[in-house]
Amino acid sequence: MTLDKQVNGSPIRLRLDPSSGVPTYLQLVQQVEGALRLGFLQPGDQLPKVREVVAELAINPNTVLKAYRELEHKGLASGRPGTGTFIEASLTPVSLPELANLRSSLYRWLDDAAAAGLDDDGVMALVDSALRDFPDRSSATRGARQRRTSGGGAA
Amino acid sequence: MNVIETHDLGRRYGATWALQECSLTIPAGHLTALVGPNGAGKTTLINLVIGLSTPSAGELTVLGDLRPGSLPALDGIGFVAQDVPLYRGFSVADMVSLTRNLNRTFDVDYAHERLADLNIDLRKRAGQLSGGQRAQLALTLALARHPRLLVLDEPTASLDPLARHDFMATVMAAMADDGVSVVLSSHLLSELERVADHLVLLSDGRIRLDGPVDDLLAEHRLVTTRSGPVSTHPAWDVVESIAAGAQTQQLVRLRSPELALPAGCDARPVGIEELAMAYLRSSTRGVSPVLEGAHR
Amino acid sequence: MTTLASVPASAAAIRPVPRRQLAWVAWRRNRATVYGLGALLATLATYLLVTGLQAHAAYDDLGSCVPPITTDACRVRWDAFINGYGQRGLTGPLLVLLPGIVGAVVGAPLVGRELESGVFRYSWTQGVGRMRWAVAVILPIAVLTAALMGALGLLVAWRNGPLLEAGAAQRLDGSTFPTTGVAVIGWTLLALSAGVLAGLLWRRVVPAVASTFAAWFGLALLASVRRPHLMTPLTSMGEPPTGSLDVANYWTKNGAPVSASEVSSVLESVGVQMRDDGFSAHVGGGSPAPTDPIIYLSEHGYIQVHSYQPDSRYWTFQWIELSWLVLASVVLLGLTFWLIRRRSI
Repeated sequence: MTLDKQVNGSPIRLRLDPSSGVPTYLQLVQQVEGALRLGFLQPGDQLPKVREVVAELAINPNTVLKAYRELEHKGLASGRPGTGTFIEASLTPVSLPELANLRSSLYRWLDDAAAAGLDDDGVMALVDSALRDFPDRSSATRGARQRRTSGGGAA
Repeated sequence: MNVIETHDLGRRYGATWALQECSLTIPAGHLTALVGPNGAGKTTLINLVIGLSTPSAGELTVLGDLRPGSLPALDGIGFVAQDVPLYRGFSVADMVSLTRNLNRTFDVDYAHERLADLNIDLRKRAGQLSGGQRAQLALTLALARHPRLLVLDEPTASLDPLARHDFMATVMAAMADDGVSVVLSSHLLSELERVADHLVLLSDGRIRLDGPVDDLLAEHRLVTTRSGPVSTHPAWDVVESIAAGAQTQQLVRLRSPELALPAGCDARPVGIEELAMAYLRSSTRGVSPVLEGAHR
Repeated sequence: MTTLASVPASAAAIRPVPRRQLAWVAWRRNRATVYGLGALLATLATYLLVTGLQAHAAYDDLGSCVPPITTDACRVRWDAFINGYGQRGLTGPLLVLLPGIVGAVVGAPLVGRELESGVFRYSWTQGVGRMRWAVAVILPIAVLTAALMGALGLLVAWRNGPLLEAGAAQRLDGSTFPTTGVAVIGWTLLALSAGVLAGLLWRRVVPAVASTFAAWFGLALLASVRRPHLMTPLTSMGEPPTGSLDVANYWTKNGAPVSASEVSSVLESVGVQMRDDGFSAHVGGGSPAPTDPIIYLSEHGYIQVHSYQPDSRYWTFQWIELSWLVLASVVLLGLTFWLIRRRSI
């Protein structure tokens, strides 16, 4: 994702990393969420038009539509027929105190892992695997926590 | 509407069946990748769809209920053949005029606009263009007819990566703008994930795999077990087994998407490229049976 | 919205591609051929025009010194005219073979090149369909080529005029007949139709041209042998009228045919030998040889009978020849179109 200084159209431009192993539509979703988190996208901003994304990245339009549908399903965006897809909500970035708490609990967990004999690569593999499973288990609660009405600004 | 619908379609040359027992339903609005090794039957199927070939067995309709090769079918299908045939001695402008005069509808403005965007000089002879420019010219001519189905037979085989990217970008943009359905035969499995949302996998003249990419991915898992390979299992059919030391990895097709996997079973999803490779490998080894389309 | 909206299929009646558009295709596709053919025929026409004007002028100069020749001075001038304009050198055979060459070279690539280069994968998948494409690409150029050759034939006939008038050449002769009138149109059409079919069958241009020309040549030879017998020849006692095509001749005495050996022995008794190409005086032995062996034979009751086709039958023969040539061409073209329609790669 890059910032686009255009006046009209979307503030962001979507990119693709073909070697990342992450499915294309998911990369697009993650880029939009990343932009939301960092405040580059605000509620009311327009997501890039399907046609533009497709012409630049040479990906299937149905994939872009799938990504936008996923964002709609998460309550982050909504499509207006004939006009485009627009951001509806924001993702509150994590505040500094919260980050500090998370960091310290992570240090404790890392101590446990080291004691069990897990090396760095083992830690990464485990985190990866858990992250993949995690959304299935708690999508409901995460969705509820992320959903905010417009007006909640980024820090 | 189904852009292609076949029932037990076959094409024989002498005693050899280049394609047999081919039953497909390809819905409109998608890009269907036709994947398989050389001699698998991809070009045979394409020639049947565009009306250059007639079936030896079975039935085939295109664009709903049209007979391939009939005038309405020819009108609605745009085609770019392998090695991009054009009249090499004609200028680009002549090729545009020729295509315009050989068709009922032709968007001359679109053609000129696209060619200008691509910096292709109208006065140059088609034979003097680079490979990438020739492919783009042929694609432009096909798309200017605003077809309902675009059929591409390995058109990017001899193109460098940049030219290939530009070519596919044009195809995708046409899908987004015009709603044209695309059938693309290709060697390049690495492109599959980005461009295809429907897959037909051919080998030795038979369909090995066929269905929407999302459904196919949902139905397959790569299962790692410590015990030896299990050839039959209540939950799945094995596509391919690879022994790796104490572990065995098996690519399996779930019998039912809702079936719970047994406990202690490490199963992860597979990518479409991995899936296609596994089917191609197993079919050349003669292991995999002919499979039906995705659960519908 | 789950997938992109697609335009609904419609098998409703589709208006055909306008003729005007197909006319452009016919022209552009065959433009190079037309230019090449035009250049070739213009060159030939110029040559025919120049030599024809010379021949006409020289003939006019002869005045009354045309057969039957009466004076020796006239004979000298007549022989000079014949030597200068009677022999056609290479042009004669070239003009006879030209319809075959032109037809084969123009016809073979029409479908043959398309198949050889693979560009039929483009042209036969366009909206107009392969049949109308074939009609546009084949028929206009066929008609034009035949017409141009017909026009050239007119020029050939005009150039031959003086010789024909003087009786030194015959219109029905095998080296003249197929190069003029309407027969030349038929021969061109036949070679062209055969070329188109050959191109389709061989799927390559060079073998198609070669085989077409070979077949055409064989047929042309056959036709020239059979042509004198298209209608029952007339017979005459003595010389046939000027401009006739000799079919056969034999000697008779008292109304019954006599063998050549009998005639030969009669002549040898007076010192004349009969040879295939005429008579030769044989000096020596008895009485002096008669000046004209034919007069001698006729004085002794021998009459030479000729069977011939008169010049007046020229146009009848022309139309007969054109008819079967056109019929054959139509059959070949029909077969070509049928095969194109059925072609399945």
